[in-house]
Amino acid sequence: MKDRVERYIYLAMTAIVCWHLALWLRRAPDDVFRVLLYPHKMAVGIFYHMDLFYHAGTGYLASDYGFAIGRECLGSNFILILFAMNACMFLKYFEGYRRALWWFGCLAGASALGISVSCIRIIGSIPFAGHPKFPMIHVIFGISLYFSALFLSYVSLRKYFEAKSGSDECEKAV
Amino acid sequence: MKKLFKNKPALYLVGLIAVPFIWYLAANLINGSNAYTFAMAIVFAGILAALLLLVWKLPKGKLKEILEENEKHPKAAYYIITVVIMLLLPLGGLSINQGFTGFGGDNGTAGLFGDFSHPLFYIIAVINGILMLLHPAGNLRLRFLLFFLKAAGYTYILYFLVVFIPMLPLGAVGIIFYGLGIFIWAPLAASVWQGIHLYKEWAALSRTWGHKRIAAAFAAGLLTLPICMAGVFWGDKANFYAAAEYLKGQNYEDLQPISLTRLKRTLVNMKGDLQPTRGLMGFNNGNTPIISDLYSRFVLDGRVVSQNNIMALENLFLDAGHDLSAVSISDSALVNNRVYLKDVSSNTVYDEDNNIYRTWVHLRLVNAAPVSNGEYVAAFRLPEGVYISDYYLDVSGERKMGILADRRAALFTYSRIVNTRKDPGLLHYIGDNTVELRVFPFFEKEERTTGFEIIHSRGFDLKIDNLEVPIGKELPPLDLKLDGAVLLGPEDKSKLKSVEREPNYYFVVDCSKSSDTEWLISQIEAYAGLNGIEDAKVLFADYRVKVHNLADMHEADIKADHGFNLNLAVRKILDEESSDSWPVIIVVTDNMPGAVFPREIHPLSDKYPESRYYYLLNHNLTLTPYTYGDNRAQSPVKAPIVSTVLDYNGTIVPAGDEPELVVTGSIPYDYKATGSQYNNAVLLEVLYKKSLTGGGPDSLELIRSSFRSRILTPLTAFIVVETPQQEKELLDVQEQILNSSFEPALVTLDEPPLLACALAALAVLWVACAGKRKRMRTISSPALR
Repeated sequence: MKDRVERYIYLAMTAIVCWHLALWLRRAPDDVFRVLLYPHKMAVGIFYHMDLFYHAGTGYLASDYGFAIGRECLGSNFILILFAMNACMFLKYFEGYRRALWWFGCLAGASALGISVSCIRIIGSIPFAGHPKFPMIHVIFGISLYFSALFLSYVSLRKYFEAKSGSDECEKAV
Repeated sequence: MKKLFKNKPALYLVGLIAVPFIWYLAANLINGSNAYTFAMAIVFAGILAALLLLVWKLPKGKLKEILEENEKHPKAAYYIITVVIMLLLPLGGLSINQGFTGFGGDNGTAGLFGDFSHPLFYIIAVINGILMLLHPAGNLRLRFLLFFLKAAGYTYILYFLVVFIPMLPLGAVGIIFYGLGIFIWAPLAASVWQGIHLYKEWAALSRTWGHKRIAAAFAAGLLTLPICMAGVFWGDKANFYAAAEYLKGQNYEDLQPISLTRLKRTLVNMKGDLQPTRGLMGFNNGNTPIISDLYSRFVLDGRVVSQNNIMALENLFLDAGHDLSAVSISDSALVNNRVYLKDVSSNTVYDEDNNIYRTWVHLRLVNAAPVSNGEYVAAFRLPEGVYISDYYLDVSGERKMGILADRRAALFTYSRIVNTRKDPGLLHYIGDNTVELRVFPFFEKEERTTGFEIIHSRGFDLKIDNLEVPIGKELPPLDLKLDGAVLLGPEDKSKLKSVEREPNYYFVVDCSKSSDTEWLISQIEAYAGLNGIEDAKVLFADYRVKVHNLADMHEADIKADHGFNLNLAVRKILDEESSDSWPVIIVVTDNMPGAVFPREIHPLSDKYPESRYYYLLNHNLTLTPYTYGDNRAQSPVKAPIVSTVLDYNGTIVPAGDEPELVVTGSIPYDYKATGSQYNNAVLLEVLYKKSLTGGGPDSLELIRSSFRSRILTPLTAFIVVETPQQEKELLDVQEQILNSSFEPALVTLDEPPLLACALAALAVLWVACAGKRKRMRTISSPALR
């Protein structure tokens, strides 16, 4: 009973933190985004030899104004969803202070993985930037990539924890 | 608190006050707000909360008495309060505001809190106040009509409430120290007083007319003034675009009559519009708060009209007498112009990828004066087929590369920076193939370096100030394959035959308000007699143009009025001139600086290379030549200057050593980038010239194309600014100028929305668990055991 209550508290805390992060990221100062979006600029520079310049309020702009990497491109939605999914679904494998460590680890890991996936999304989309149906291509590519990354993350973590603990909720259900 | 929610009138008051409050917040969210406006909103919310608490604490009987007074005849106190709140305070406030016109020495300030000087502000206040005093309890029809009119007036009151919300704390301070602050609170008091009155009227009338009809009348009343305003805006918009056509002069056959009253209103609202950030109070006190903003958005479609164009319109229609040639982008009181060019060097390389020469021209500039704030300004001419592709300025030992920006935004930013003494450098076209370089500031005896890159196909001498530098003259001319154009060099021209065409004389007479047309006509007669001219056309130009022959010019019905539209007259002449002749245009005026000069007319004037000039007739009957390209005056001459011309497959080109770009094929409608930067530059030039003569892509498309090909065009400018803040300001102004049309060009790489991500996560969990269940069922199935 105590464990269940504790898990509910973690779930509520995750929801609150996600909510606040989402709100904060919408209104965060420009300089924060300048730093957070920097990996995207680096990735574009490495793959396409393009030098993006920062325009306050907009984000990193291509020098020919062909495309912009703004605050909506950070991948924050993916980071929050990945964090929420991992933090909530695998809490049962931890107890005590390890549970808190896992929770914080999920946040840090989701941030790192989220920005990496977002960089891949940007790099993959840039060649289509001039296409008339670019928004559709970009969204489909983004959702496919997110789905794959979430799936890989969830399945690999579950396999890892199952192998480690020898128990499985689904197996119990069966 | 439960009591409050049970108290219906109190709830009604909450709703009544919440409407303008939410309106105000929404307007701020849409227009962009600062911490100050939000702080004011919070203060205002606190004040409203205190008011509500007061209402809540009123004895029930008292509140009921106030709200249900409608059936009785109002007491004398009602009339006294109404006269004070609805008449004396609004009229007093408007008068005091107008009394502060020019407050702080700023000519643009039309009042302390904005321009409320229009008579309608006073008239509506008086009518609304009188309506509030009328109380025909017996006649329900008249009362219904009055209810509608009072609702219409309520929009006016709510407008002032919204405008004055940020001022309310100031009003409190004003009450303590001067007693005048009460006027700032007047809109709040009036909106509450009229709101209570309308509520009571609603309650009384709804028993007869029903809630639906009363609600419809109330809504119609509230919308009356905004709809009237929208109607006026609509008319002003059409009038402004018609007026702009006179300035452009392109469609001179189809020009519409202009209402000067409407145009004056538009020009007043346009001024002071180019602000990169909102003022402290959330609006500019030179304009009418909110209305000017809406007006600008609607009439101008959110575009910004340059100060130069506003002045040109004022000259053209109001004969305002601005000297447009004296307009400078830097304040002569702040800068000294004793900076000179010490040395020019160049470095040319062959760009194999583009099959073109690239030359960096480096300039060393020195401030000769023992004072700071030196500005270097130089104009130089580039030959045809030479384009600028980059620019730099050394700032504090660091080489800063130029940003290619919209020309209007760059000029605006440069002007602001020069007047605040920071480091800008600017490179932009000021006429046909004429480029201007500006660098600022120079400290006493300081030396600075700047430079630009040009792409070209053959060598030439570049003359800047008094120095001349050879550019790739030792290199052989490149054989270029241009799409739809050919660059004729001296060796090509030497093979062409010369042709002679007859000159046709045109006299353009200034018919503006301040001109003496009789005397100008006598000048024409004197010149024609002296030079034996018998057949010529005479164009009488105010903002329109009337054409007469030399013989019957005395019969012209001339009414000296408005300004002098030289642009329209010259454009009409050049456009209508036959290809077998060439025009000699002689301007007859006593006030040349007040004329609206021909602008971007070289695509038309290039058809007549016999003369690069039009002429001003001087008092002594000599002629002052003005170049079509940049309207610069030359030394007076006795007769028109005539050059030899050649025939290249039907296209007339000037003789001489200067290369000439001739369009040979059909011009594409849109810009489509090619693999070669030089080809892109040629295409941009051809499309730009096409756009000036009507047709071709719009200017926004050309600006974007210039950015993409990184080629300086007459619509763009290279600018170097010192700080990231200035860079941000430049881009903000550019966005404002290019407006919404700029947005679609910018592809943003947004991630999928949160809902889509959440659905993806749920799908992952479902797929993963479903797969697992299926696997486990397979394992536990007896058939497989």
